[in-house]
Amino acid sequence: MTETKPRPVGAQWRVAISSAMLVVYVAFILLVGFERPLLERVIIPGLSVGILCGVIVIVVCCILTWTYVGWCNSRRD
Amino acid sequence: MKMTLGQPDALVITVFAFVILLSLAITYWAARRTQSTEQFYTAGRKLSGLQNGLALAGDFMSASAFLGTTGMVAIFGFDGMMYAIGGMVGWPILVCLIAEPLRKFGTYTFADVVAHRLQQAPRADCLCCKLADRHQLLSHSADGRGRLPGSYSLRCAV
Repeated sequence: MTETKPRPVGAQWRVAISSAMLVVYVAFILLVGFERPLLERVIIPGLSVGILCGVIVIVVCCILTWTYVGWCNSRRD
Repeated sequence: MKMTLGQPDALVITVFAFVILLSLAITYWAARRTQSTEQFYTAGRKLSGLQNGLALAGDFMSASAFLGTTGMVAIFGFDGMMYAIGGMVGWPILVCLIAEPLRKFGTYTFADVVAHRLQQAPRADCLCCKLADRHQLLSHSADGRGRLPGSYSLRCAV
């Protein structure tokens, strides 16, 4: 059986995007775990640093997905 | 703690039966239009991005997503927020590492890819993983639903 190897460029992109997402999320978890006082600081009433960080993680998630989809669409189809 | 069973409520039962019948009717209608494997798994590759997104959203808005995650954030604060965000974080990783190989191999299920890679069909293993995983989701979904005072929430919804 011929092993179908992933195309190098594609594999790099996929690993890079997955790693970036994991790094951001693990950073958030570490903040939650060890930097609680920082997260509890309130920037404006109703918005603390922690909630802002959560929103940033979600925005990064959207941007990465968007990047991947854009790259996929430009590569083929 | 003394457990009490709820009283039968005509409105709740009617709404419940209506939803079940409607889903069964839609399933029957869709099943008659499905001829091939491709149509079954990917709707004949005719879905737009928006339609696919709506389908995924409907799939993931479960009792556990609403009650579980909201409750975790409410009770545990930032510790719960980790889980609320984690569900979202999984998507790019899922797309990159699972969806792309599926597409490349031209298969529809993860088990097919694993079978292709391992040159045999590990269906029993996949089934065991799936059952172990779904059992967790099912048990806490059912738990959350059971704790809701059914008639009250349904009356609010109606």
